[in-house]
Amino acid sequence: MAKALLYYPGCSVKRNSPWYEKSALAVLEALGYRVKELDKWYCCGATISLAADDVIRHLGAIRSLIQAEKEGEALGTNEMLTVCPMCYNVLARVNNLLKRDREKLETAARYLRDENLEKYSLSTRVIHVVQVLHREREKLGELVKRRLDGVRVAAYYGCTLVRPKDVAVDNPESPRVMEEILRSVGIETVEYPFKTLCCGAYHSVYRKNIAVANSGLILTDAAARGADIMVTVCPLCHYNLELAYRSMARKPGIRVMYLTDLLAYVMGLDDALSPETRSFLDKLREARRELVATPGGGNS
Amino acid sequence: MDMDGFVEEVVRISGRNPYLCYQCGMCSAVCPVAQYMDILPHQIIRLVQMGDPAVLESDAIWVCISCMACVDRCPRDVGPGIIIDALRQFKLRRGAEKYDYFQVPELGEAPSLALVAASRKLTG
Amino acid sequence: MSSKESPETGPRPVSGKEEGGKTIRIYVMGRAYEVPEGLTILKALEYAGFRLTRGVGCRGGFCGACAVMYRMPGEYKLRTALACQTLARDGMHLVFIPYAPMKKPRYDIEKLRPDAGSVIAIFPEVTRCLACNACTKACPQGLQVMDAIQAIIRGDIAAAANLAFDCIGCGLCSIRCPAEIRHVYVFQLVRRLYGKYMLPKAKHVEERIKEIEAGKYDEEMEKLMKLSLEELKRLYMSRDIEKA
Repeated sequence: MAKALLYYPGCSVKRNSPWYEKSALAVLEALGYRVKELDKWYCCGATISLAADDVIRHLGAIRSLIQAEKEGEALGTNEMLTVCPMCYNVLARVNNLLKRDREKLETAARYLRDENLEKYSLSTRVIHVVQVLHREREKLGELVKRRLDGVRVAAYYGCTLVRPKDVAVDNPESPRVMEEILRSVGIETVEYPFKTLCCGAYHSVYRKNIAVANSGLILTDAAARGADIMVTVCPLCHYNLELAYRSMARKPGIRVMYLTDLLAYVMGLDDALSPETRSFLDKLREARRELVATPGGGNS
Repeated sequence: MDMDGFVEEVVRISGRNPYLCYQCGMCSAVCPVAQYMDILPHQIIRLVQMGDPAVLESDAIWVCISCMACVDRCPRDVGPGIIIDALRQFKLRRGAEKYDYFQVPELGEAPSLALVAASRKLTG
Repeated sequence: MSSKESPETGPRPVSGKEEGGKTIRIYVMGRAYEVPEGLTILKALEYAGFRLTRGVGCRGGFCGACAVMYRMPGEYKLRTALACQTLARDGMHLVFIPYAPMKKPRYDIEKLRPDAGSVIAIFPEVTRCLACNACTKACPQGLQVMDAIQAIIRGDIAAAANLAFDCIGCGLCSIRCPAEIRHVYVFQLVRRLYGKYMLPKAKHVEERIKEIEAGKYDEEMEKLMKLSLEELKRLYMSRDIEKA
């Protein structure tokens, strides 16, 4: 039987990043996963309420955790897959909070009883697609159909995959999971110091200069260290990085895309790629192949 | 706005103890938006320790984006970012609004998660 | 409360036993009235002497004008209803909510796209939804109001329009919403976007419009416009009517 995952898509993935969803699901399917979108799910809140006395702002997350619990029984899994790291962060933190704070769990249960919702019994496990890809990286390597020799990639983590510590998918100070995934499919990675620096988050709607400055720094530094591509897994980081790129007078030679776009490309899952992403990667691959083939032209 | 007892309320909302802070400045050093703040994170915590309500009027508390960089690295586990969020809450719960939606030109273009996050952080 | 009171017909507070039949006692904005059992809230109010000019419309559950909120004795629940569709019950404390204050926003539907951005640019408060579901609990139509708002945040205009199809604009959800969402107009907009841009066009309507624009019926119309009122009446009475 195929390994099953309960899929929580998230608002921004559905509304703003449909190609990210497509490539992520295609890669998981190629790995043999059965991904079932939850029949009902609710906006996680995008940022967890940090107030110790708050319950109402956790309700969207709690409703979704309950729904996953309900549907998980039939599917034989308790793993709730997120692709957006903001959703991952909020859902995982609310899940942890409810495990620690039984009083809040009871308060929420009492409130939701009106709607005949069962009390959450804390069984849902929130995971991010990066964690699934990392545990399957050997198999990913076996599924490679195209090489991207000579192409150098910088992985950008941002905040929510690695902070706070109790939901970090890897060492928060020096995460490696995305690089390890990329190397398992034969892609060269670039080290740079800003991979967990905040992109500016929601300031892109309110204090745009902050998002443009931070994202611009992240992009130019990675480009200066020789990265052709910056991969991210977050719709908001992606938006801010592109926002910064558009606003730069001198464009750094670096392209932003989703990690799973790049994986889908090397795995030959072309239907899961936007025409722009695919033609960019085709051209880059050609250019680098010529470079590698020319004597003295390759530098790797 | 009645500021009496604002420290007690901030302590209660945040669940953190600002008096543990020994002003090492780690939070300000790791803050990705510190350069846009009128006062720095460790100064915010100092003002809270001193019970100075001027901290509530600083722009810095609205610049913080809860990225958790300072919270994870604070050697005294004060959680400056959590206390800053409680300062925002103190204001928002009394009717402050720091976000005029209709002044945002690309409102319809921004990803939902940015809009939802801004709504939750900047409106009451 | 939108009502006019006059000495003869104004509301009659409790004055003792009403003659004949069983009566119940209801409280309108804290004042007690004795009314016969088995009336709708709307009829009970009128029986009590309220002459409603706002807060009443079709009397059939379709117009959404007669929203009320009430509590029953021994309950903490603040309940919502349409006065024309709900029976008055003994001990009910109620108030009319004839209007949820909100200015109708102006927009040019031709210039909008059928996506969440169009809705959020006009109704940014949609992104303040807390998923508390107070709206759904308040809806006298039994709509999944919260799900419709949530569908907008994730960009699913078609789902939102369908979920909100039966909204009659009573505004009770908007009164209860802690995010202060203007549901009535939000839903009107998503239905318009859905109808204009997403539903398949009706072919026969398009063809007919083309015929009209090409002047196919101009001559007939000219003829009709020249007829006298008597001739028009005669024509109308003798028109073809399909046999039932």
